[in-house]
Amino acid sequence: MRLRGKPSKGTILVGLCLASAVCMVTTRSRWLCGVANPVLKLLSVVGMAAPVTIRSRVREMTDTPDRRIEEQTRALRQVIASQQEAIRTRDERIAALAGWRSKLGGFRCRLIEARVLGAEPIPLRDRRMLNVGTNRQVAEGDLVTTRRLIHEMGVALPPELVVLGTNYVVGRMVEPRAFSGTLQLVTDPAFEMPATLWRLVAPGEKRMVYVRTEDGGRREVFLAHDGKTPGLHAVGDPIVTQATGDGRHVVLRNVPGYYGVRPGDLLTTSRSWQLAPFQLRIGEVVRVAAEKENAHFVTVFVQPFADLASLSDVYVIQPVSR
Amino acid sequence: MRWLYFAILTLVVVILQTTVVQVIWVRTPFGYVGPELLTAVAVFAALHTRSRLDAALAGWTAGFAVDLLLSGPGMGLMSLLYMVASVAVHGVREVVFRDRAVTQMVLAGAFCLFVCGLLSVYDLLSGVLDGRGLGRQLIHSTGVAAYTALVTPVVCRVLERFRRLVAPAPSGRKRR
Repeated sequence: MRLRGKPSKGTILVGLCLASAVCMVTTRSRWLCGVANPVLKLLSVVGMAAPVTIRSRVREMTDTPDRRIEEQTRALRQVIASQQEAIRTRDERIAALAGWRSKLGGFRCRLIEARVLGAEPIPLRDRRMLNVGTNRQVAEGDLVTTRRLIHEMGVALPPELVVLGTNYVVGRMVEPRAFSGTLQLVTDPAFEMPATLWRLVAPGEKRMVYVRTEDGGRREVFLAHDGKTPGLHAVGDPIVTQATGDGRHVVLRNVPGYYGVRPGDLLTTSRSWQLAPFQLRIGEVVRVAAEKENAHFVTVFVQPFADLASLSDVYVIQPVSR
Repeated sequence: MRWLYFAILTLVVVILQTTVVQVIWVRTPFGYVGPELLTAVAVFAALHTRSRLDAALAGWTAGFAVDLLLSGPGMGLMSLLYMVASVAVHGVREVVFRDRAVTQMVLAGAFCLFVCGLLSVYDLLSGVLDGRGLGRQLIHSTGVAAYTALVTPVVCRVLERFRRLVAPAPSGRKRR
């Protein structure tokens, strides 16, 4: 059948409404975004240069020398902590290879360089669009970290530590499309991931923690920093928890109060999670609040280490086994 | 309405909104709050189009641009919401002074609140948000709507310069 003349605006509008309604009920309608995003890629790359540059310039201008020193100290502490972590992981691997353990530890992964193309048009969700998608074998759930090189800090370290040293988890991939993907930041309200909380002590400091006894009970012990390194040191068993976002912080709900979590403690990815290499750093505890419903539990608020506002270059971590 | 120019304007604004506009985002306890420029564009178009159909089509186009860059369930929702809100704005344009900054602010605020509010409710219904999350997101939406309202008169002032290209003045009817 052949249409006579041009369709009226009313007809076009009805058609568009029907198309929208069909898209809403069809689960695979997001492929349209995959078609549109490459068109927007080039312009977005140019556009993203502005906020990142402006933010870094403003920070340079507003930072006082004290604040800068404090930032550098904090970053160096992180480097020391990550070196300890890397050494421990290597020790574990050596132990496994030497036959002390039957199971080989470690996690082989590939790092895919990616760039943030832009944020979502409505800032109700903490998500960013990346320029990699299924064309680079990126899959849903892949972890994303910052891409910071150690030489920015003027500290020379072996190449392996460059990647592991100052890279913080910023989120994970959701909705990977052909040539682009959506990065869900750790602060997104819909974000959820298993995580591990570490209680830290500074040099010369003691901390009371509860340890399990053989009869299933708990007893309190004081654990101190070993004094071998100037960095913070983890004490007690790591606390396995579930991390969610609230738009500003990473939130850990229903954490038993007897763990005595306090500001300054460290949140990392969980060893149990198959898509994460090992304890990659997420953030630092900034606030602990008692649960309203149950006084025995607390809600822990974690500030991400990464500057999510001026995120531009990232790594997507992809398991080699895939 | 000159649709090719309007499509180009929408493309430019959506690029600005997802990239450069991040500079003026404000961090609040509920997350980042930033202006939604496409709302300002849709309000401007609805106030200056000749017919309700044109307003609806302009709203749908702006909403579709948002749809293309949003993630999560509900592709197509924003185009419908923008269209309905644009028709509503077009409906009240005869009883308001459309060149007044206050009018543009109020309309843009209401437009944005309507869109973000219903998006939040949709998120609740589709299981993305729980009850607590809905409350937080509604407060967040109010912040986004307020910011958008503040920015809209400026955007309208800029768009006014390009009005002849995008939406020529209605003929045979006096402007109020």
